[in-house]
Amino acid sequence: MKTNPNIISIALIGVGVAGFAFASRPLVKNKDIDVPLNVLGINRSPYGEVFAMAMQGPIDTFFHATESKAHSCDVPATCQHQTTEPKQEPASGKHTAPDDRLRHFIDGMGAGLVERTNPTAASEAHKFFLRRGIEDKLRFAYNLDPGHYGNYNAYHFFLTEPELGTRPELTPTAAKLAEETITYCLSRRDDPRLALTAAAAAGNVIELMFSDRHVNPGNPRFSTGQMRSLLDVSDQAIALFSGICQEWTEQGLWENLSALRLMEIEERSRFVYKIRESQGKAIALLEITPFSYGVENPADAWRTTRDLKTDPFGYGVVPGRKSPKPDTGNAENLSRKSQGSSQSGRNTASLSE
Amino acid sequence: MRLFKLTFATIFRRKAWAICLFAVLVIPFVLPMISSASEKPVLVQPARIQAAWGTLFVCTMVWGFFAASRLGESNSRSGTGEYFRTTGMSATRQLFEIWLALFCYIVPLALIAAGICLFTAAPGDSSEKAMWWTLNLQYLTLFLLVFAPLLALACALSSRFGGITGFCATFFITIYGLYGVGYLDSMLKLEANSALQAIWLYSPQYRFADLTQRLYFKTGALSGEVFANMVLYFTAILAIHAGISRLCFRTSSNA
Repeated sequence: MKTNPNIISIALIGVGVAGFAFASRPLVKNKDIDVPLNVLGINRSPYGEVFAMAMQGPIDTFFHATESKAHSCDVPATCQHQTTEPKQEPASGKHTAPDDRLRHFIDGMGAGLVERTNPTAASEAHKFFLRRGIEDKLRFAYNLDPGHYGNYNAYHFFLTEPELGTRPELTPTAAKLAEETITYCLSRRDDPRLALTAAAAAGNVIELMFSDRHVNPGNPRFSTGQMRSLLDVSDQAIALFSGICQEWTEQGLWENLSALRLMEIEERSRFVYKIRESQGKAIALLEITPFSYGVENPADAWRTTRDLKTDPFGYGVVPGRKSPKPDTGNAENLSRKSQGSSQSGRNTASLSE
Repeated sequence: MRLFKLTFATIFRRKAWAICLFAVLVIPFVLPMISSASEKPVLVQPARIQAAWGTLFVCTMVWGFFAASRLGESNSRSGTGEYFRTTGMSATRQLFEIWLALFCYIVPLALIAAGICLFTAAPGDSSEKAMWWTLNLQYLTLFLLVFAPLLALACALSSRFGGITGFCATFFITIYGLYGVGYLDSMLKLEANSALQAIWLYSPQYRFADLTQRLYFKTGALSGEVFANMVLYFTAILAIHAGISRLCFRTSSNA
């Protein structure tokens, strides 16, 4: 019997469409198999960590980026921060080796490519465009490796600095970022550096709570109890860091790291310890004098012990993991509220609610 | 110029150029509508600039390289190259004529992209007009200087190693030169590595030819010295690619 080939094809297509329609509905509706978009599984993978590192400058470059001169600590005599030595640029006649000359030539073109020759100042729209670009890059790097100290801090800084950020929902975004970072970092036990990132995230949230006391001196939204619970998260992260460091020493894993990476860890841990100590003191002071908000504001006292210039003023924040939520509810509630408020009044709107 | 005419007519009859022409003409006006520029009219011009040059890059890298590879492969496999050899046309001459025919389609596309930037996305301030013209002409020059030898390379590589190899190798070199070297540079700034440093130093730094950011941030035209250096640099790379292409190109599959 001769069958019409078209009938077979049409039957195949018909059966396929029916099967597809029948099978796709439960698959699409199933929340368990709904995975976030992650091309080639690169985010949070070891390769992602390398890419993220490539997008990330050294910690000093970032933290001292806003300073015009070399950074100044409160205790310059004992300051051990690594400062980048300015490269000794050889005089133009001294590029003798062909490699040197080529490098100088390429660097010259690179500098020329970004050099601004237009005498007219950039418009607000262009500045906005630029900031949006930076923010997207920072978020991209953070998604690649949320446990990276620099990735998290750079992105947090950007979100909480009103002069820089471009999105209206800054407050809940920064809170959610900190919470996600802490959850992710504390769940990983393969690298001590992640614990430092978690401690830094807890420290950032406490810092935002201090800022809130500056903005709302009469009616602070966050109690010292909430601050303490975050300080506990910080302690937990620091304890985890010490534990994993011990394990690494026993297993000799430190030898896999380059000298630069080791120096970076040492510097960051020292920084995290210092922040933790200062914040502990500041909270203790706040507990003693809760309504003193003059020059002797404990939060100010805490500020002066820092060498960071990343003071994000004007944003309250939902506390992260293991901390009681403020009256206004969770991050989603805040997000809805701030979306409702106009963009121009966003700095004060989310705090006054 | 018989091979030139033949190749030009072949490309014309394949009609894929029409898709690229349509894309370069229409996308710069359509794409800003789905960007954040739809909410903020001041961002329409930067979005249009980005779309115009972005489309041109994609068209040249996908269609341009593909067409070059296909032409190179068919010239050696179909016997056309061998036929022209018997008429006395050298391999280099054949490569040049095939390349020129394809280049004649790429140049108008690039001119359209530059034209869109010049006439529909120029800054409102009249004092910036001169800078805008200079910058667009610089961009056009660098773009053509970078892509011209790459088209010849795709054609030559595929005449010897097949169309897929010719296309993929050229595409990879371009992507690496445009973006890879930048990432490699950031990694090297974090952690020095002499082997990678040497690779980076002798990589084609095509990223210098991408002036899109200068356009949409209105950073201003490249200074004369920097532009001259770039032209020198890309001309040197052109010479290298031309040499490699001449060596690789062959007119018949069994020669």
